[in-house]
Amino acid sequence: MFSIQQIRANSVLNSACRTLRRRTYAALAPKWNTTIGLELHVQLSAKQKLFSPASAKWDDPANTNIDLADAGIPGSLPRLNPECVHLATRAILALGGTVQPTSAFDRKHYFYADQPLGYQITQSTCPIGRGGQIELGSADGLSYTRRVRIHQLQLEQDTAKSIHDVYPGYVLSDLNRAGVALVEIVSEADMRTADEAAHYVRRMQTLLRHIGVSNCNMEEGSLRCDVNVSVFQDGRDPLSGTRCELKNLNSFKVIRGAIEAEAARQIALIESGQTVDQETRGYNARTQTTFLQRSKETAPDYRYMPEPDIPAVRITKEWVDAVRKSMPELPDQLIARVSKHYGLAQDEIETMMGEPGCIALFEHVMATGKHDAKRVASWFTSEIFGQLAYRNQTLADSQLSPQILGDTLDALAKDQITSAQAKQLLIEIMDGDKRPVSELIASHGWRVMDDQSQLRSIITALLEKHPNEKADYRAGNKRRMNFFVGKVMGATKGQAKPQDVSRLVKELLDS
Amino acid sequence: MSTAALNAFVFRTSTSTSTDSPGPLNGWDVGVKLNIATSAGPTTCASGTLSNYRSPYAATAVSLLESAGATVAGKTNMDEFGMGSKTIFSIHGPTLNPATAEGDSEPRTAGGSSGGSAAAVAAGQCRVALGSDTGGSVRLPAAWCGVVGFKPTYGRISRHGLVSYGSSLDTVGVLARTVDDIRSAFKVMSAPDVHDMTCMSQQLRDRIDRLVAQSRPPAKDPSRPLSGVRIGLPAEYWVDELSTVTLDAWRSGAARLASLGADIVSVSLPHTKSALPVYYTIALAEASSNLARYDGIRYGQRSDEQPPINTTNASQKYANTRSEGFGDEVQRRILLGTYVMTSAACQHFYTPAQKLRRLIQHDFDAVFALPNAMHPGSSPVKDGVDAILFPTAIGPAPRLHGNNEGSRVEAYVNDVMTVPASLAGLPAVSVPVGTSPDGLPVGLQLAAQYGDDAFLLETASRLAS
Repeated sequence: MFSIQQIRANSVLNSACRTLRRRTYAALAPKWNTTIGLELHVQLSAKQKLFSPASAKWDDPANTNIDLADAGIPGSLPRLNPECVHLATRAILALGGTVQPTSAFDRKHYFYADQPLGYQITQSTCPIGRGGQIELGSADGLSYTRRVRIHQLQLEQDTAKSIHDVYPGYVLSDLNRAGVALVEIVSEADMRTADEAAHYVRRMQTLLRHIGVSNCNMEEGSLRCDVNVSVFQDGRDPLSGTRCELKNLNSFKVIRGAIEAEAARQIALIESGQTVDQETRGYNARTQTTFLQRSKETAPDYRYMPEPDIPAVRITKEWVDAVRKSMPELPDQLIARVSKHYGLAQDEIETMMGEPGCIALFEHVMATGKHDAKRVASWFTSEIFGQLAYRNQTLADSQLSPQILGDTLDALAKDQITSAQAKQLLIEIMDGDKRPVSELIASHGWRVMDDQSQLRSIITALLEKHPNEKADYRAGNKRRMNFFVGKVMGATKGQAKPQDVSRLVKELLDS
Repeated sequence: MSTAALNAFVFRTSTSTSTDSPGPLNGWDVGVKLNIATSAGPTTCASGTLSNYRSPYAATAVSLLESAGATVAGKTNMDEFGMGSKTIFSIHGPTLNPATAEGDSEPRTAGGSSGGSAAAVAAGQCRVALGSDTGGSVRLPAAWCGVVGFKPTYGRISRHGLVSYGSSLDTVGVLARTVDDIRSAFKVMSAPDVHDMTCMSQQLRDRIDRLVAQSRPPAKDPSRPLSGVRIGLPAEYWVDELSTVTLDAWRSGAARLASLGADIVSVSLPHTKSALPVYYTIALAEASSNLARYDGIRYGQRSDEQPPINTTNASQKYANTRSEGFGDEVQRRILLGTYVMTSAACQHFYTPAQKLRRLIQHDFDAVFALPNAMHPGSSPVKDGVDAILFPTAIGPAPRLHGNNEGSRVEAYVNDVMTVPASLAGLPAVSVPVGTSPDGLPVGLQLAAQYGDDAFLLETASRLAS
């Protein structure tokens, strides 16, 4: 494909790009601008595949979730899963776009081992959704607002998974993922910095997770990102540059790095009197450079054709209205409301929003009694999230009841139990103990030791028992205090409040 | 001729016909075309690429017949993937026509692509047979073998289990010696199916029934059962190539319907001349797409030939597998279909073909009295016809090997009588109406408005008896 000279020229160019980026990119910045458009592929959280009733759990044991149509068995036909249409509709509505009254599927042809039909069923000319936007601004840490318009949202099927290098000389194929539903969300080329692109992806992630459309997990590939990058000089049309497509940028770091590297490469090319060719490029995160994957000349002809096995999808206004009614409050409104009503900080709310159903459960807990919102929120994001991560569960899996959580937090707030005991209770509750909190506390025989005189006598006894440590403390080794605190907590079996213990130990040591 | 020599069945089930089922088709034995999935026997589609393929499931049409008491008698021969009109492009060898002309020294073609089904029914090897009709593949062999061949309205019978050729044209069709047998089998198979989104919903079926009931009062005089019925003779089908025997059959068929009370009128379907190129553009485009799945990876034959060591992608492996597996005719059609879909050619072939297909459909809407239930703007046509009558083929069955070296395009010309109904998705039936002076069967075709299958079969039974 390349001559030696070309490779050498490319590597010279690449190293020039690196130098340029390090030393002079900032100096060039006022002159050059970047135009960025994104294509996001988002795996829908539908239970079944887009065109078959097989389970969409692609990470089950290989080749266990396959229906006739997923393997392209002769005579099998696709059947559209209404749940996927519903989820796509949610996404369109959440983005403020329009659900098209009539949409249709197309076949996109290419031969590949991960493509059982020899074509992908997608939507090209009549997508299910058009329009809408995401507005970036102060909430994203920007000092200005940037409106990123959505060009279209289309439903399409995922490919099978090819597994290389397990058996030398063979490529293994796992059809579990074949036919899983994706939406491709195509933005207009409205972004101007890598930072904006990253914020756009993050906002999309939050939004789609929040409305239950996708878990948008980049590591697992349920959110995949292709980026179109071109450059233009001040005063020129932002779309005047030749764009290159960067494929499969699957982390925020890579998205930022690839855009910056590609913009620098294009600027360097133009400044050295060369032209940018329209091509598909990959990104090498190690060298922080982009590399040629496919030139325009070798781009495949996909031979798009209307999918004759699937009639046009007609969506009524009534149906759209019903979907709209079923949707949760959108993130922007939700953040505003929760922050006003409970006095929580935005990042706290966003952390909770990252786990589907968390805000709702939080609000239900708050409704069970008089609770300190900040304390409840931090309990969610530290203790509950910690347990979920440890158990590899979602909040929905855990089936935590608002009443039980409320009672636990109430007991903690009223000093009936210590926070260590509250954590222990949470573990037992999540292990499936269904007894009321009061009964659970009683079964452990827990009660907070708040009898100060009793505590004092325990501490005094311990000081007597450890004269060396006491002397050490009094000689100036203040850290010895922790020794005594630990001893007291042990002697009281954790039933004393740590703040009481610390206070009294210090008081008695210093006296 | 011995039944084995016909090569109509390439596989026969060993189980004898059961007679203890209470269903309406109790005791019926059914031949099933090789491109319709059955759980017993092969589903090769007469192709090398599927020569060892066994279907893991049965087609909806087959399951419905079986649950009505019928038994699958075996699998019938065909042209590879339905591409052909003589049942000669088959890894199982050609099927012969049970009928021969006086003085014939060599056999006649059974027609195709459902030649095995037509020959099996004609020779009495099964009571009914399933075929598939994309552009005439049930009607043409039915006419040449002297049996009834019915292509229902597109979407009446589920395509689930019918191996796709041209998805927007493919239908499961039925062949039998009488129209009554066809009606009984059709009644069982004509049902909505969740496995096929292009299969008519119950809602659409009900809407068609209401339209039919509104526009056509039942006949009152039993001696003139077709009184009030208007039959159109489309002028555009009166082509130079029609043989005398076919013309005579057409005239006497019209006279027979007139004698039963029907009004015979001339109608015009002006876009008929476009039908053949439109059909071959759309059918082959869809075929090239539908046959892309035969890559030898998940099932079917895979080439043993090792690609050159430097081939970094798998394309050579695909090419070897597909070149070895597909026959010449299928490869020819895939290549043509691939070409018309390329971005450069699409606007010159595929897109205009889609537009012309609409015009052909509108031609029919303009002559039928019954509105088209699929076209919202369609309204009843004043003085419209209830059905049209025209030949199924330009002449009787040609010799199996005769004219084989003639132009390949000539082979496609025979489809001129059958493809317009396919493009419009209309029901059409070929009915045997007699024989040529030398003893070969001649068939006539009746076609009706979208969804008007019941009326079409009713009229066909009048024409046949």
